[in-house]
Amino acid sequence: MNKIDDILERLQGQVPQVPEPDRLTYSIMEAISKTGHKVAAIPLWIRVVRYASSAAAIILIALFIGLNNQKKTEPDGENVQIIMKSIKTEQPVYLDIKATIKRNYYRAEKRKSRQLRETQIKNLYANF
Amino acid sequence: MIQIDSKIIELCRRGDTASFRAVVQAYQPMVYSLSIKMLADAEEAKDIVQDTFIKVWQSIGSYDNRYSFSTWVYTICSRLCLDRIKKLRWQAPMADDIGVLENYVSDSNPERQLEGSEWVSVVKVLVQGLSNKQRLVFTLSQLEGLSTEEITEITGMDATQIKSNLSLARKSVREQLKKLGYE
Repeated sequence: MNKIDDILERLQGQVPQVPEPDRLTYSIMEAISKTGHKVAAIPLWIRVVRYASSAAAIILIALFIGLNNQKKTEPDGENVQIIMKSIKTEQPVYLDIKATIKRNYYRAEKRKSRQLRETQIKNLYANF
Repeated sequence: MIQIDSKIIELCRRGDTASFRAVVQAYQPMVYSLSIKMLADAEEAKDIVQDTFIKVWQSIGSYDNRYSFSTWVYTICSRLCLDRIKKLRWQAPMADDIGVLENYVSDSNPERQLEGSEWVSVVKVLVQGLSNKQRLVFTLSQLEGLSTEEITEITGMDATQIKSNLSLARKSVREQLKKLGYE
């Protein structure tokens, strides 16, 4: 190996000593306390999820407000009258059955009392 | 190259200054080494160290952790050095500077480490006449001992450009040393 190669090899990888390293560190820390700091970049997929969820939330809120503000359909006056009439005229089925039962019961009672009366009259005539 | 725990870097990204102090302490020698070898000026090198760490702090949020943190710090430092070189007036080596190199070469201890001021003199002698790109590639490869892949990441040059610049730089350095009587 010649002298030049020897010199270059000896110089390679040498790290000179920092003069007063603590003082230099202190001055660096002082300087950075006066400067801004860029925070870590948020990963792309987190940003996409954030935007997507924000958009979905806005759509849902808009849908909710839209549906609530929709004009409610008022019933037409003529239709109401027709409906009311039909309610009045058409009697419920259970009322009809009740009336029939009542009527039959009354007839049966009447028949019973008539038969009793006829029996009593027959007995009276028989005693004579 | 120096490696630091990724958890410390993550804390720095969140703005933790105590963790950043650990980063400064770990990488300060590396940044100072590159700065003094590039600029051949101890005071300017200290300024570059400070500017580098301010820049690291300001932009650590955009650091992509798929790449080496050391390489990223080297990249910031080398760009700041190149900007500073353009503003600085190159000082030709003096007789004292040549004397420092002679003392170092004639030292019987091959493990001897150069002081900061000695580095200023040695660099002045070696890199005079190099272009800024050649100087950067020579410093990173020959003096810092980085691989071609690492230099590619730091400088943005491709392997061919690096080889070409390094070859020209070595040739120039050899000529400088030959002029001083080294063979």
